[in-house]
Formats: sequence, C-alpha cells, structure tokens
Amino acid sequence: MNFAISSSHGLAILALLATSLLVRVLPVFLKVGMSDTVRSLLERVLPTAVFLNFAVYIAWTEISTAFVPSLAAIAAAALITFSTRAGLVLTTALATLIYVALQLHLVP
Amino acid sequence: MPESPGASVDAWAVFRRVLPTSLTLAPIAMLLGVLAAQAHWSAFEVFLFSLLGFSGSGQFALMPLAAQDVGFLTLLLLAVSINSRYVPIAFVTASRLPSSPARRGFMAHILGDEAFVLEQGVHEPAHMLVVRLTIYGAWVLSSVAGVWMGGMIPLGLLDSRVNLGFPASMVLLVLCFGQLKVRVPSIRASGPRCVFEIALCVLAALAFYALLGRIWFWLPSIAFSTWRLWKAGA
Repeated sequence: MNFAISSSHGLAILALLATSLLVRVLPVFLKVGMSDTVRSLLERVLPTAVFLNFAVYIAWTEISTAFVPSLAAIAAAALITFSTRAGLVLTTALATLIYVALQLHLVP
Repeated sequence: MPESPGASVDAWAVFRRVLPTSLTLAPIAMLLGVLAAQAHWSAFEVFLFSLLGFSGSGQFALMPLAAQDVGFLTLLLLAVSINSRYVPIAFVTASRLPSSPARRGFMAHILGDEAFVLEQGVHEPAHMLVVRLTIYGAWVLSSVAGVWMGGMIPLGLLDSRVNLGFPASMVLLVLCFGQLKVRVPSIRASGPRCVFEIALCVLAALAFYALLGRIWFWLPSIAFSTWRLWKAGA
C-alpha cells in the first residue's frame, strides 16, 4: 500500500477533521447551565425538529431530481411506516423497488 | 430501540439491529471510494479521509475541490456549513456520552445522522458506542473497498438513470418517519393544531431551502421547527 499523502488531499482530510472537531466534538464539551425548560427543549423538542428537517431535506432532494419515481417511493415509505409495523429493511426495499422500476420505465 | 433504565439489552442485539442500516450505506461509501480512485486518491488517503473526516456529504463535496487546489479555509468553511446540523445533534446527545474526555471526544467524532436516529432510546454509553461504531466502521471500510474496486468497475456499466444513493436516503427517511410516528402523538396540542404546526414547519423548511440553499438552510430551519413544536407542546 502507498502511504504517501498528496498536499491537496491532506488539506481536504485536515479540513474535515477540523470540521468534525468544531461541529461534533466541541459541542459535547461545552458546559452550559440549563434550566428544566431548556433541557426539555434540547432532549425532546430539538430531536423532533431535526427528524422533521431531515425528512423534508431528503424528500425534497430526491423529488427534485426524479419527481414521479421519488414521490411515489417516498409516499409508499410514509404509508407503510405510519400505517403498518413493517421493518426498516422491508420498507426501504419496497420504496427502492418502486423508485427503480418507475425511473427505468419513465426515463428512456 | 427503546431501552428502559435497567433493561438488559446486550450489545450483540444492538449490533444486529444497526447492521442492516450500515449495510445500506456501504454502496454509497464504495461509490465514494470508486470516485476517489478515479481522482487519483490512494487507498490510504481515502482511509484517512473517512477515518478522520467521516462526513458522507462533506467527503463527496471536498473531493473535487481538493483536485482544484482550493485553500484550507475555503474547504473548512464549506465543510462546516455542510455539517452545521451536527452542532445541535451533538449537543443533544452530550448528556448520554461517557465522562472520560478521550472516549467522549471519540464518540462525538463518530456520530452520524443514521446513528443519531438509531440510538434514540439507547441510554447505555456502551450501546451507543456499538451503534455509532457499526455505522462508522462500515463507512470507513466500504470507502476503502471502493478504492480497490475502482479499477475493476467501469462507471459506464452503472445505469446513469438510477441514483445509487437512493436506498441510503430511504433508510434515513424511514428512520425519521419511525421517530416522528412515535414522537408526534405526544405533542400536547389538539390534532388540527398539531397538523397545522407540522405543515408550517415543512413549508418553512422548504422556504429556507429555497432561499438559503441546501447548505445554509439547516440551522434557521431547525430553530424555526423547534420554536413551533415547542409552542405546540412537543
């Protein structure tokens, strides 16, 4: 294996390491005195807000690149998740199958 | 993966629960490795890139910029912007991390989006480590495997009509839907008010996305959603 690191690749690696230290490591070392309200906000409300934004981000990103196939797949995933007890793998597989089938059918 | 205090959930069970998600991420990490190989990154460089950087979107974004000899501060600014969502996420999980600085720092570094969703309800630091390490390990190893496969798989063979990242997006989306299914019923506001607030959050997220773009929309959008959900009694 070649263990040499080119300077441009090394800079990219360092930039991501510094990023991880800033956005993931530093926040867990910050000592902030929190009231019960703030603690509740952080432990219950903020995660829900994050999940909601993740969902919007992923759905919009996929829908904007392949409208019908992604919309159909995401709608199926939502329907299955919210109305059944089907697991992660089955739901993901079905949604992906719908996406691939429609994408290959609709795009020449 | 709910885990009540005192419950005895063994680490092996946690690992088996996380494994399917980490396997769906493997093709994306391999694709990163394949693209890196084509951009003349060595397997060792990709190994360090994933090990020390560990940021799917950040790695995909910085790789082409590195080829253009873009400066360190520009790379850092872009990477921090792309990953700014981790600030609130890391903050939320801080209270469940071990107190030892080294272990705390390492576990914070290997936090990923999928791990954050999967470890909801997991209180044992050892089990959180299993969740995070499984996803992190799969990502690092798959990206290196991708470099080795890079020379063997002509990209022309892949059907350009199909987005190879779609299954990974679906995994995270389904995990989020699962969390929302559990959390939304506990919002104290009436049904119509709850639907209104969630619709408002969705519309605001789309508006922030349209106005600020996919990199900058995260923090204002999460802040807005937090405010509205708090008002609704989440």
